[in-house]
Formats: sequence, structure tokens, C-alpha cells
Amino acid sequence: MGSVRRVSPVVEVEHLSKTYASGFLGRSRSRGVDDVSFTAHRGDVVGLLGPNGSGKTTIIRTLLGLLRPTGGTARVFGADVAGADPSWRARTGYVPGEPGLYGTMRVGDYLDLLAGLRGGDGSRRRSELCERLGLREEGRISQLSKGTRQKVALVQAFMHDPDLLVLDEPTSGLDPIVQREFDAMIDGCRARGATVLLSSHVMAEVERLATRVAVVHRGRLALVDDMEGLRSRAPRRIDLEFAAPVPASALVGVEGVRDVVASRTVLSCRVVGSEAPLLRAALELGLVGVQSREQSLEEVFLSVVDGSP
Amino acid sequence: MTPWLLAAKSLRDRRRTTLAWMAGVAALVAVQLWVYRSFRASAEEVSGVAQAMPEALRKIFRMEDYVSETGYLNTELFSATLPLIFISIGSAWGSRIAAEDEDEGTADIVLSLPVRRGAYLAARALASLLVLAAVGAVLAVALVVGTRLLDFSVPVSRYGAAAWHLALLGATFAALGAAVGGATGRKGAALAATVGSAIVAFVLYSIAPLASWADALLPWNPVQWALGSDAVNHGIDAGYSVRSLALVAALGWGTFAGFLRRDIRA
Repeated sequence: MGSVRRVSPVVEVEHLSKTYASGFLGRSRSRGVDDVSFTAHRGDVVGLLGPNGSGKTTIIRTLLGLLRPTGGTARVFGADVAGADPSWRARTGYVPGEPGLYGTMRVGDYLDLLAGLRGGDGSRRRSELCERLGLREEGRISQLSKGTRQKVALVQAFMHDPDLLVLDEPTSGLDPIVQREFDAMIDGCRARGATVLLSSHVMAEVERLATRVAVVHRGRLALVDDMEGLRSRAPRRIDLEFAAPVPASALVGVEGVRDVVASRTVLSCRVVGSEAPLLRAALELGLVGVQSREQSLEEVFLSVVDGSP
Repeated sequence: MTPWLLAAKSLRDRRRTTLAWMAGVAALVAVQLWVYRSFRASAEEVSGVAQAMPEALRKIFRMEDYVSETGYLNTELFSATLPLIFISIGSAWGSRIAAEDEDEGTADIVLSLPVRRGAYLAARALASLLVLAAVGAVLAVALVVGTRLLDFSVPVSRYGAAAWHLALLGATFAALGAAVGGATGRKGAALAATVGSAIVAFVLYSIAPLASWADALLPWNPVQWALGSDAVNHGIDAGYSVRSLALVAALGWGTFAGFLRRDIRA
């Protein structure tokens, strides 16, 4: 892994800012994202998490050159995304949050058009993907269900085996069977060294697929870390069992201990950092048992979002 | 090369509408020439009816000469009906050039492909110009064939000239629609601006014989550039053609400038 990290990142975002003009004649400004920096390397699956309106889609659309940054830079495969040469996009695949497809076209014609605009063919891979997702190429897009249109969006993004996949809520509307196929497709991408940026509201999906997580909150990157690092940073929930009832106030002031709740002989609390001060204090109070629960990604996410200013 | 796939797609999407416009223009010419054939023998009486109309009305609709071949063509086809058809085609296509995909939410995927925004616009603009050229060609052919059957003495090249000026008129309003769409990404705004401008330009052109202030504005009026030279009688007007082309080029530059710099609407 060390040697991988030394090569240029696939995605390199430095102090990226984006404000939107709004109001009469665009005189007022609204925040998109502010001072966002992160990198993604070959083989990374980066999960972008954040509440609605936090700036995830702004980051994604800026990375694809659809939005013009108002500050900072974003580079993909070393190319400035705001530059005139779009050739780097031939190596990317993109599923927008609300995939708008040409409704008057048949699925096969639409995929032909996109393959032609990319300057490639990829028909063998495309057929394989259609088969995996249960997508028929004869149907007219306007007559497809939301889930089937989402399959079309997935096939067009994956069909040329891109080196970078940018996916904004990619499994929205998909049934569990197709979601399982999607997971396998992401695993396949990671295995061949492709990079994936995955924005999703489904925590379990990010937890399952991502190697790193970036939490976006109020337009800023609140946290970027790999899954292990994320869990070690986040407060852990610990239940302490005592021989006799102990008041919650007994642990007030102990280093790193928060939110102590007493229930008969059990004290529950959250711990940030080392657990040693808590355990020392608990032993003096007659500790007989300890139970520590690993935080789910959702709990980690909520702790980051709730704890941020 | 690949962006031209987008031009082909635009043409394919609107092929029925385009064919309908072509058929409509050909039918219009055929009907008007058939009417002319039926009253040609009693031209003097018809002229009398026309002259009996209020003077203001005759001036607005350029009905000073309703009997001669070119006078009839000008009155019935080139004074209002055909210019409005070409303006309609230009407005409808032009407002879509830059704004259609954004308005329909289909721009994100297409513009995330390795396609330059300039090439994307150029391909879609080409499709619009091809449609205007095709309808113009159908008009010219319909006029040539129809007037030959009626033994008109108007040279064939004059019909080409008239069609050229009408196609330029359509291109002017198409370019205006493209520029507004390029700046805003909104097809409705582009169409509203184009149709509004066309109405203003046409009304000013129509009332110019009656109002000196409107007459003073004619040199800057695209409708005058298309119709004022009376192409059926005098052929292509180079000065007016250059003005039209310059305006199309300026609006085209504006379209590119607006579209290349701004954010794409989701």
C-alpha cells in the first residue's frame, strides 16, 4: 500500500470553494462548499457522507467540470477539471443523483450514443452488465420504471471500465438483488484498481463498500479518514456494571467521559480517547463487568455532524 | 467527430416536426399559387378590391401591388406568413440549442463525457441551421416548380434569394434563442425572449410605413434585413445579408461565452 500512496492521486482537491449566485441579477451568494481538500488514490472507495444540502453533490459536480469552482483547485488524473481539455473524462463514469436520460431513445440506442461520444465501444462489457442487472436494451427509456432507469445510468457509467467512478446516490430505487450486484460491481472496480467516489444516504452501503469516508457538513469537510481511523476517533459507548447501584455523578469529571446515564447497577457512557481513566475510576467504585460496543457508521456520522459547530 | 452524433440525435428527435414544417411550407406555396392562377384572368377586379381596403392596412401588409406575379408573392407569402414560419422554426430550435438538455435534466451525463462544451453547442447549432436550410430549400424548390407551371417570368435565382433571406431571418432569431439559453440554461426564458423580440421587430417593421419613428429604426430591424430589399424583385441584398450574418455571429459568440463560463444546471 505504501508504494501506491506515492503515485499521483487520481482525485486531488485543494481548498475548493464554490458559492452560487442567487437572487435578483445574481447579487446574493449562497454557500456550496468552502475550503474542501482531500485526495483519492487508485483503488480507494471514498464514501461521501453528509446531510441533505451539505455540499456532497456540489463537490461531485465540480469534480466533473459541471460547476465552475469559485476558489481552490480540483484535479482528476492530474488535469484541472475547469480546464478546456475534457479528454480525462473518457476515463470516468458518472451516475448523477437524479439521472436524466434521453427519454425518447431506446436503451440500446442511448448506450450507443454515449459510447460514441466517449469515443469507444465497450459493447461486450455492456452486454455483460445489462445481463447482470436484468436490463433489456430494447425498451424505450421514457417507459421504464425509476429503478430500471437507474440501471441504465449504472450501465452507462460502468460500461467502459472507467478508472474513476463518481456515483451520487447510485442505488436509489434499486431492489436488494440489484443492490447486491452493484456491490459486486464496486468490488470488481476496486480489485482492478479503479477509484470510486460514492455519495450515499445509506450508511450501511457506505460502511460495506467504502475504504475511506469523508463527512461533509455545512459545506465543509468535517472529517476524512479510513473506516478504522473513523471508529477509533469516534466516541465509544461503554456499559459498566457495578456490585451495587452507583450514581451517574460518580463519573462526572473523569477524562474523556460523556453522557453518563445510571440504571440500577449499570452506568452507560460515551468515551472519547483512552478508556484508562474511566476504567481506573470504575474499579474504585466496585466494577464487576464491562461491555464496549463498536459504533456503527451512523453513530459516528451523527457524532461528527452533531459535534461540529 | 463524436460531437456530431449530437447533431444527428437532434435532427432525429425532431424529424417529424421538421418534415411537417417542410410539407406545410410546400403546401402553402402550392395553395397560394393555385389561388393566383384562379384569379389571374380577372386581375384588374381583384386589384380593385385590394385598393378598396384602408390605406393603413395596405401599407402594413405591403399590398400596394396585388396583381403582378412578384407583387402577389410578396403580399401573400413574403410579407407575413413565410417570415413568421421561419421565425417560429428559428425560435423553437434556437431556444433548445444550449438550454434543452439542462431544462430536461439530461445535461449532466452528456457533459460529463469527454465532449467540449463548445463542440456540444456547435453540433446542436449545426442541426438548427440545417433545419432552416432544409426548409428554405423546400421553399425555393416549391416556388420554382410552382411558378414554372404557371409560367411566371421571375428568374429562378430570385426564389433562392428570397429563401436565403428568410433562412437568415430564422437564423437570427435562432441565435438570439441560443444566446439567452446559453446565458440562463432555461429554454422557457430563451423562447420567451425570442418570441417577444420577434413580435416587437415584426410590429415595428409593419408600422414603419405609418410611423416615422418606426421607420427610423428599420436599418436596425432584422425583419427589414430579410424583407426590406424585396428579394423576389431584386435578388440577394449583400448589405442586409452581411448585417444578418454579423448579428448571428455576435449572438453565436455570446452563446459560447455564456455557456462555456457558467455552471450547468442540475
